[in-house]
Amino acid sequence: MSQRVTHAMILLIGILLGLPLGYLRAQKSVGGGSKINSQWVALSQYESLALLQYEQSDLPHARQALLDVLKFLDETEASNRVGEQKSIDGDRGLMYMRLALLEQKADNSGLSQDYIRKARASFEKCDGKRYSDEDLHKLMTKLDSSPSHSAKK
Amino acid sequence: MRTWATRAVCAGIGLALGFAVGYALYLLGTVSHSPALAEVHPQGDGFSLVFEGAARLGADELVAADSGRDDENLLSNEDEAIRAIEAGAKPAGLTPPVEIARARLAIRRAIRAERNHDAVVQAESAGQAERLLQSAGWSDTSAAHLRAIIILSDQQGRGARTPGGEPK
Repeated sequence: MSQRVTHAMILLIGILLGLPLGYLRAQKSVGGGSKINSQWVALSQYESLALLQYEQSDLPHARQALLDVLKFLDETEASNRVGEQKSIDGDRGLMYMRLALLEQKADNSGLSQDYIRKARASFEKCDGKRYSDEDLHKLMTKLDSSPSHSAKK
Repeated sequence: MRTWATRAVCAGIGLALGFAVGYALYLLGTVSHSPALAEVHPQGDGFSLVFEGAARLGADELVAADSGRDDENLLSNEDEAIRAIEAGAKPAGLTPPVEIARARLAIRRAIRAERNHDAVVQAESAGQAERLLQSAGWSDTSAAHLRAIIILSDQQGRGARTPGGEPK
């Protein structure tokens, strides 16, 4: 009888020791991925709505949508929901570049240059590379020549 | 000797059981709190509502694009997610273009109505989408235009998520 109790006690101690180990292991292997997934799904949806506005609507609506995404990115960081900082910085750079192009078309060259500077800083933070104005414009032309963009024509 | 072996086996089984339960507990907690999988928690602060709503809407759109599903259950989930975004946007100081999400939802309803030969719902949904696009400042506010964008976007999404199926 006492031997059974001893075995049960050992089993219980094993369970109690294994429980936090399993929890911590899952936190390490799954936790980061889950945060990245949530960030990716939320951001991509938020951005895709704003990009439709950028591609299809008039200047004030397009501008408002892009500025709003920048605010959303800031809030995502402030509320500690960032799964992958690089993608936040990269997305921020892209939004600034689109704003720069919008302002360029609206003949606000000063503001456009300001956005280009901010875009460069964001891309630099993202991957550590230094981008020239030409590189940035090439990148935007490539991104904005997607089939959905041409669908409006 | 045998006693020690039995004790070691008990300890091993206990550790393995505990490990599995701990791992499962964490997974359960993650799933129930994942904004992309769980219900949107309406008691959250403004930004939480927007974030969770966007994640939920994104997950539903992935399902709609990948499976071609447009049943009422899925569209109601989208509607609920849009409401969460709307409810949280003002307190969070955000102005997301929810009218575009609403217009897209209306077009998905119109497509389903067309398939079901329900001309009334189809016309109503298409009309709703056009009014929303007008208020969103679109240059082409026709339902056909947004429908073309949605179909293209679904195809692109499917292509990008299929191995070797990068959209052309």
